[in-house]
Amino acid sequence: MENVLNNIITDIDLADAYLGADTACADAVGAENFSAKLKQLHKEKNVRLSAEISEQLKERKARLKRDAEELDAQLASSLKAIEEKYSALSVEERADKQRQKEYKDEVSGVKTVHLRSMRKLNNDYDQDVVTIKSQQALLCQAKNKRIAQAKGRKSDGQSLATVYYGVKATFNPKKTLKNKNLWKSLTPLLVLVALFVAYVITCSITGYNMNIDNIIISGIYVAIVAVGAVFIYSQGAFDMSLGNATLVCAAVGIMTYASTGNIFLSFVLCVFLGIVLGVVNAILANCLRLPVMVMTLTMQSVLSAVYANITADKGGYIEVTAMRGIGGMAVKWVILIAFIVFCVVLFNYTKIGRRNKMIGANATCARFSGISLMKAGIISFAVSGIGLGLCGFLYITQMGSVNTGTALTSVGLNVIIAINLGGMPTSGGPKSRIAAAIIGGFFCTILDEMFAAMGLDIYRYLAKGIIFLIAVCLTSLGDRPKRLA
Amino acid sequence: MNYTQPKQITVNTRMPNRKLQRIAKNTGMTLIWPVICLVVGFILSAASGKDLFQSVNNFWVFMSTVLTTFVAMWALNTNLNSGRMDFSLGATGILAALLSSKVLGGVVSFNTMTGVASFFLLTVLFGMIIGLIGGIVYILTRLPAIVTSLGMCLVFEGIAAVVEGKSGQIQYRPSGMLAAKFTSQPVNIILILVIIIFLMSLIICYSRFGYNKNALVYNQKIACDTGIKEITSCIVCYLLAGGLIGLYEVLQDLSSTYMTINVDLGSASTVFRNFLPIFIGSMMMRYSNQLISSFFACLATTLLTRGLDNAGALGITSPISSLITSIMILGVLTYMVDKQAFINWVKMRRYVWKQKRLGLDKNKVKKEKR
Amino acid sequence: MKGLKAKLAALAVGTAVSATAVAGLAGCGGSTANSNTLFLYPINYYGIEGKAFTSRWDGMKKALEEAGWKITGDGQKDSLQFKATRTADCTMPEDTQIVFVNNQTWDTNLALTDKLLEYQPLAVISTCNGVEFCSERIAANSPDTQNVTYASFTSNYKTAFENGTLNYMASKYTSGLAPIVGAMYHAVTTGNRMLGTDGKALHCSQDYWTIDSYEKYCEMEAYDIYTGDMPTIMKADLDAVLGDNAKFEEFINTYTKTFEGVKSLVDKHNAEKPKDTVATTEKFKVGLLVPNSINDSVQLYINLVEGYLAKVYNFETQKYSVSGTVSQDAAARQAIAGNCKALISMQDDTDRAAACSVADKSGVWFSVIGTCIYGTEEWNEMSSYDHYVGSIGTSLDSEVKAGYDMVKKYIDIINERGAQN
Repeated sequence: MENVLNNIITDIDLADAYLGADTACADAVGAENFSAKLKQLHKEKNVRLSAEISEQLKERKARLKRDAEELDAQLASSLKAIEEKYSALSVEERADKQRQKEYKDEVSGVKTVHLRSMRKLNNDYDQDVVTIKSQQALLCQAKNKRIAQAKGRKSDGQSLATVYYGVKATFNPKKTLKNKNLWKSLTPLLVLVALFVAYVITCSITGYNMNIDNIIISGIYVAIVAVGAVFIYSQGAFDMSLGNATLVCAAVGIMTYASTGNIFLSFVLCVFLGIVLGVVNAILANCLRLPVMVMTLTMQSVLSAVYANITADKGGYIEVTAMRGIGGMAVKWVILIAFIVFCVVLFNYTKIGRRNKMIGANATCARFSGISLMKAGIISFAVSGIGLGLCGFLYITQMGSVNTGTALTSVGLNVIIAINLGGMPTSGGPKSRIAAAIIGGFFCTILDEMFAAMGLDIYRYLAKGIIFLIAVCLTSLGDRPKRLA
Repeated sequence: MNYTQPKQITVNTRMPNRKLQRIAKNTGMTLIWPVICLVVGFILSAASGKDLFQSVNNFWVFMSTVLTTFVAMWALNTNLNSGRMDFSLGATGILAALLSSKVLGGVVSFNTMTGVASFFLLTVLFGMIIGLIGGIVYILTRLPAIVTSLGMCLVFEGIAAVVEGKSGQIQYRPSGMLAAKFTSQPVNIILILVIIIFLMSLIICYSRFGYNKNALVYNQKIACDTGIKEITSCIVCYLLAGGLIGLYEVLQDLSSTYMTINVDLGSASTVFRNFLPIFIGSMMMRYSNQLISSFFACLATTLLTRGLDNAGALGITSPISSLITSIMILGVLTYMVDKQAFINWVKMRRYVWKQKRLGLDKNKVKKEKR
Repeated sequence: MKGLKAKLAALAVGTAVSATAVAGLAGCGGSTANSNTLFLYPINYYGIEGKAFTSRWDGMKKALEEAGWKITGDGQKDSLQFKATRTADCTMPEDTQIVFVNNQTWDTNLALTDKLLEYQPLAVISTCNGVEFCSERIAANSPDTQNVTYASFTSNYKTAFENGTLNYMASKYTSGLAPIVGAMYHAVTTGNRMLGTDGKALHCSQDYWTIDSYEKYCEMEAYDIYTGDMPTIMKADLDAVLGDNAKFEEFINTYTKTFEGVKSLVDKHNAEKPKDTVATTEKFKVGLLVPNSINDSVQLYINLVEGYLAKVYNFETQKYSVSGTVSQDAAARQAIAGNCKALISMQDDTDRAAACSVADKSGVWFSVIGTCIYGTEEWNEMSSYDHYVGSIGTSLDSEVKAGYDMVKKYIDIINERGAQN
């Protein structure tokens, strides 16, 4: 292994010597020529290095095999020695329970030592394989540094090629496939893919025409609200007022359009009202120190009454046919993708998401770590409010009407179902993911479409409930408390 | 050091009868909500030019509403005060009523006492069985109750839709005058109310289950460490809730031949209507028996609702009425959660003021030293 | 144990005492039974123009206004806000009262019981679902009150007439939808739709039928019911008129508009005994847009379409449910994805124009049964679509007339009583 390590290029001077490059590059033209020559040399070296790496890997594997065989032989000989030792004893001694226990202990001890040695052997092998394969990445890194130096720039040596070689070096297919956590996190996506495949097969059998637009149109409402709601649920809170809040946003949006004819104003008002409603929820919950779930349940009744009041003269049903189909599917795709990207960046690459995950994991620790729960709550509810506003706007541009008893009012509870189906625990914490909301949001729609394709519409509710319970159990396997939740 | 006589507490002041004082306080605090709501209801009705109750029959229809609210409230509260939010209650009741009507339809007549009593008992029994299924799922999965209850709500609604073959409004029983009149008869109302209060008191207040349940509410870990079995208590809670919601469904639907089968979580809103009496009842529970205080809480909320319904002439429409009720829930909840914080804040201010008054303010002393 | 018994006894006594105390405190006043009271129950009324239930209420209102009542507070959904006040022109007896019953979805229905016990009215007049919501309550709490409603020929309404819990019904009839299905078949097979004589999409208006006794019900039902062997309107009748707009409209006006017309057609069948020939065109699929909870009226439509029309016109059907989460246009999309060549909407008017628009864009024929769409904003939109075949059923004018007649009858009864007294 030391020979291998010595071959690795870690020093720029060694790179020059190894590559045989000309270090003279006084001007830009010279630097360009140098860099071109260096790249050519690197290419040739890379090919030779690949062959060397294969040889080294073969050698290492052979050594692993030899060591493993040695260990097995050692184990066999130890067991044989123990057997001989105990077979030399008399019948009465062998019948003695204490002796039998000692025998069993010795055997298990030897086996344990063997197992540990094998594990260590395998771990060492894995590490050495990574080291061997990393040579290409390091060579590439050295080349980049030398070129940057020649051109008079600073470089950290990380290029796409370096990253590629790095990933190639560390990727272990067997270990990855054996990783239970990976499978657990991929389960919802795999189930969604399986369901989609089942849907495709069902369509081909029954002659039902697949229409992705149908799925998007039906699933988009829950998906958008769920993506925003992840920020709330990641803190371990529940927001039960999502449905009625969306309804109020939609009502205000459609009434704005009906009176002004301005679609942009309607959009802005929808989103703004959604943010306001979210922030009001957050302030009430924090200032009054009320349990979020109960408070949002109360807000649900309040918002339902507000909707009934603002639409009282229209009987609770507003229709503006001119709004129907504005922008078409393109607008829906753009809004959905833009909002998802925004939430993914915010949740995974900023402090906001990390704070939320910590609050979900342990709110007390988060508070003592200096995280302001009120600020985090307000931001989360505000982001969720954007989702509500967008959902309301998309609904009115699709349907051109708003009414109770539609997809909007049931969005609140469907979001909980979607998030759980997507594999995110309701207690939030570090396992919260935006992907869960997207997967769950479309899961129910594809399930409904499949039952429609089969012509078994009446069974879809029962199927949805059973699948939901199974999915929730599977995603929470291993995380369940010993006592009742 | 001189010896000074310790301060004697003289008994110049009269010692009031503490027991009488306590009883008076408890009675007052228990009755205050119904009295306030009665007065508000009277005022609203009078302002609209109506009586609160136009006739004795109206009063008994009102009491019937109080009874159904009471039963639904306890169906929800049985699990809610143990920290389990159960969204599947509505679906449990609907499925129980549907199954018992399927079993009994054509076998008994709803024009006879036997038919009505069988319907009652069978629905309660089915409710308990379905509630038990929900409880078992919760225990086996060990997931938050809110999650399992949503799943079970979908499952029960789905089963009801499959059994009936469709959702929406269905005719669940044949015509029967006795059944139609049953829930508006005074004797039946009082009888059911007394039986429910009696049985529930026995179960909740004077049984081992009730004692264990209260212990689990306060601290599950300590209660379990002392040997209380949380699983048994949970199962009994779900049985009880299922039976009560079955009873509620019967009381609700018996006066009509039609009932509604909801799907897609449509029945989950049944639970939301009963929050106000639960919160008011929990405020009053400190002063009296749980069941009596719950009953008065239901009475209070129903009186208030009646007053608001009568106040149509004042422009109080149904949405405004539900808005008022929702704001009241928020107010009651805030009071319950933040009352102690407010009291502590008042005490702190009084202490600081007293310190300043007596010149014992440490900050002031420090300033003087400088 | 002794203490426990005492506590439980105290509980029971306390409950009974409290109930009585509240009753005493309530200071119950109250009015006596008053048979000159009419209950108006505008179920499904939303105050939106161009809707069937609004038209029924408009008819009721017209009858009341003609009788000298002023109606205020309507235009909203909540009927508890409605108020009827006597004007100087009102000649009805002094003790006449017009009471509006709570029509909100959150009504526990005990509110109706409450009012029935208080007023003991002459009649409860509802815009729909009179048997479902009112029959048993009326029979249990106010047996002398008459139950008046608007519905279709279904078994529970027949039973209600038989046992006396329904007294007056303004009814749609089912068989009348056959012509529009024929027109739909014509459009699918020839690629051209039939038009009305005004050059626009078909709008086939039918009157409602009035039933006030069990015998009348049975008589009328016999002319409506689909028997399988000889339905009221047969394919043979339609074959003679399909393709000719004028003849088609004449057929509609002569034989499907009124009960007498239908009766004459059935009598003609009995005399001539025409035979249907099954269509030999290629089988196609028709999507039925139905409500999620299929009520008895819609079930009758489905029975006729699936049981007779689909067989003679050689098409297959599939139902697509419209619910709170699946709008009518989404159901239409599903149906189009399921290769339907035509859609028949049996759902109400929510998103119906959107569904028609979707069908038109995909070249799928769209027709409506159960209501005649004409003269409304919805008509303006739908009649502009090339693939909109038309609608058949009661028109808004029929609905207004039905509501008017229902209330007028009982106003006349009260006036007669007043005259006798």
